[in-house]
Amino acid sequence: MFIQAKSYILTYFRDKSAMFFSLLFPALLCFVLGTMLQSLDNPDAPLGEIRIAAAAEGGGDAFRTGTASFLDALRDSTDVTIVGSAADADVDSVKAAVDAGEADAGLVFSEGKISVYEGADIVKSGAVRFMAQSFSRQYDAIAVAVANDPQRMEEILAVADQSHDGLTEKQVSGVNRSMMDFYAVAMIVMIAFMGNGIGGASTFFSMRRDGSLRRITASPKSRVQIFFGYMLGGLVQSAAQAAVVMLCAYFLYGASYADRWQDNVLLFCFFLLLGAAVSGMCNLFGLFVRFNPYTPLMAIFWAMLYMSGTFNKDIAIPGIKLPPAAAQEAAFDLTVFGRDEKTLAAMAVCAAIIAASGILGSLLLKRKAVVL
Amino acid sequence: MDYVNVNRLTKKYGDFTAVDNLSFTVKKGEIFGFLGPNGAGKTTTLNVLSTLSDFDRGEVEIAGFSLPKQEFSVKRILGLVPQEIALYTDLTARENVTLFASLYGLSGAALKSAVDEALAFVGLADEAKKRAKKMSGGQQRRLNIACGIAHGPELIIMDEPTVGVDARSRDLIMGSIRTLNERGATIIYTSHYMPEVQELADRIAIIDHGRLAAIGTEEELLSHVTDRKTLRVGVDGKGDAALIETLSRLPGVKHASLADAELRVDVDLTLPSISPIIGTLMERGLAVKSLAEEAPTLETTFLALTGNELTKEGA
Ligand SMILES: Nc1ncnc2c1ncn2[C@@H]1O[C@H](COP(=O)(O)OP(=O)(O)OP(=O)(O)O)[C@@H](O)[C@H]1O
Ligand SMILES: [Mg+2]
Repeated sequence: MFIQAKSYILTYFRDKSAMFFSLLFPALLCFVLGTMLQSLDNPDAPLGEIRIAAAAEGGGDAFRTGTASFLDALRDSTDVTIVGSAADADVDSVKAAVDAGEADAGLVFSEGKISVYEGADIVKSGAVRFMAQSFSRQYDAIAVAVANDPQRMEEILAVADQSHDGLTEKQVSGVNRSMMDFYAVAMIVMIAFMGNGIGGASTFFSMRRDGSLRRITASPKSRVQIFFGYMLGGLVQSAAQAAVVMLCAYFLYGASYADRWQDNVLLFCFFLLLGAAVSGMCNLFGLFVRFNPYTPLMAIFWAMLYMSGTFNKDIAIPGIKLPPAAAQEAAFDLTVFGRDEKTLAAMAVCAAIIAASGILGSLLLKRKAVVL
Repeated sequence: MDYVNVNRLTKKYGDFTAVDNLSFTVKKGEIFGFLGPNGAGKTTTLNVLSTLSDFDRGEVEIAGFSLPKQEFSVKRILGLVPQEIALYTDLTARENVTLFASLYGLSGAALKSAVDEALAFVGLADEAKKRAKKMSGGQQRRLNIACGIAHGPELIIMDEPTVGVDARSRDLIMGSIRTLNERGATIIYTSHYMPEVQELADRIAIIDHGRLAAIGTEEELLSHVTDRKTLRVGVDGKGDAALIETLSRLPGVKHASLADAELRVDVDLTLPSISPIIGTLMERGLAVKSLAEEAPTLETTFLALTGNELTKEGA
């Protein structure tokens, strides 16, 4: 198994075009994008304007005052627009505004509680949820303080009034994001599909063409070992690809990905599995078909990445989440919001795909005709 | 007991029968040559023997292991030199041999010395660091062999190991086949090049259209053809296809061919006179400069058995 992996890796590192497209090109892209973005110097730009529909009803005096001052602070923030008037709105109108896409997210303050209605743009809704959460925590603390000493309410409000501009997205998410954070992740997902996909698909095709597959299948290696060996090679390839982009973006432009290092390790593992899963599926495809899979796969991948908003996030097929979009979402969920559920779920899907491709591939190799 | 035992082997591709009821045996320590025109089914048969291909009917037994049931036992003793050069073109000669040899469980110092030996064996010791794609055709052929034999197989299957190489590489390859055999390997190989088979093979099988036409030592094969002899006529002037056509239709003539200034005509032993042949040549204004008679060769035998000329090297 390690011999197959080694041959795959050796071949891969010798193949100049493979190296160019999966390592050098992304590194260059990283460099060019990074330099371009640095001169823009606008770290929050990817989020853009966030439109929030808000409604405030019920709750005690302190809650209402707090709510009003929170909304004021949001209104003053350059990146946030409050759609309509919070006083006139209710739960239903907020939901309707979010559903209709007039607002990116909805906030409803009622009975001392904050409800967040998330819209289609997960990054923006996530940011809003974070704002609401941090407000809610602050409010809880204030509530305790005020309950003990009602006089302090005035003081607190006075302080809050002075520090309006303290509420920006930087503080909300806790990390200073740069566009590189977003591009690096999108780029790794892209390379996982392109690099591992093309590499994986051409593995068996080119080995059948150059006859090395004959030698390998004539040897006393089991078909399971052979197939998994090449998938292992794909795993190493995806490690190299992800590492190059992650490190490049980190050292040159200070991209920081997730807040916690544990999450970054998880992110890296996710990229590994993603690449290996794509490799596995494409290995299978390349073994199955008799034509050169390069061109059709290239077309499929570009289309899929394009429709997933990898190149321009405004383009997507509504209602359909393509694999690259799901992968990016899982990665962003981890890096931007520090949530790992989607990432873990995506990793589980990848692991299942790897296992399924391995089993199917080994079975397919049993049909001897595929070798010749 | 026979080392390789093929009994009524049949292999079909859809409706097309590529190997048809083929039976033969190979003895341990033998060099066994497979002769046949293009598409005769040589590669198909070797694919079955090397566990690469399924078959539809028949029994195949190698070293007491039967295929396909005990194929892993067979794979362990097998070395394969495929007809198409099978190399990782981006890797060096040494890396290629190392990768393929390690598939057979060699590692460490044993692997290294096996690789060195295999490279030296095919005369590529000095090219070890060269990438396969940068090598000449003959060097690639030799590397193709090194990759198949480095692990020291007991049975070596070579499919046209000398196709498309120059005389020097051919001599080197033939020498190495002989050496491998002297060291104890049993070798089954195919070739289009008659003198090579004649020189190397202990026994020869001639197959045509997937069927066995004849099998045996060179002498045994020659004795199959007792009804004809070959006339070698040295001519001065140009002959053409029409001439060959006319000659072939003369009574008692089995086959005619023209190469350089020599005309070869296979005729019945019972042919009473060669006057019609000479007459035809003179009618065309060709001067007959010499005339010799030859006993049947492997080439004539092949022709007699298959009705086909054996495709020449590189064709
Ligand atoms: N995969 C395949 N599918 C269908 N037909 C095939 C396949 N492989 C070989 N054949 C056919 O089977 C016949 C025997 O082919 P084979 O390659 O065994 O011939 P060969 O004797 O090795 O010829 P050559 O001297 O050209 O190498 C040919 O007619 C060929 O077209
Ligand atoms: Mg052949």
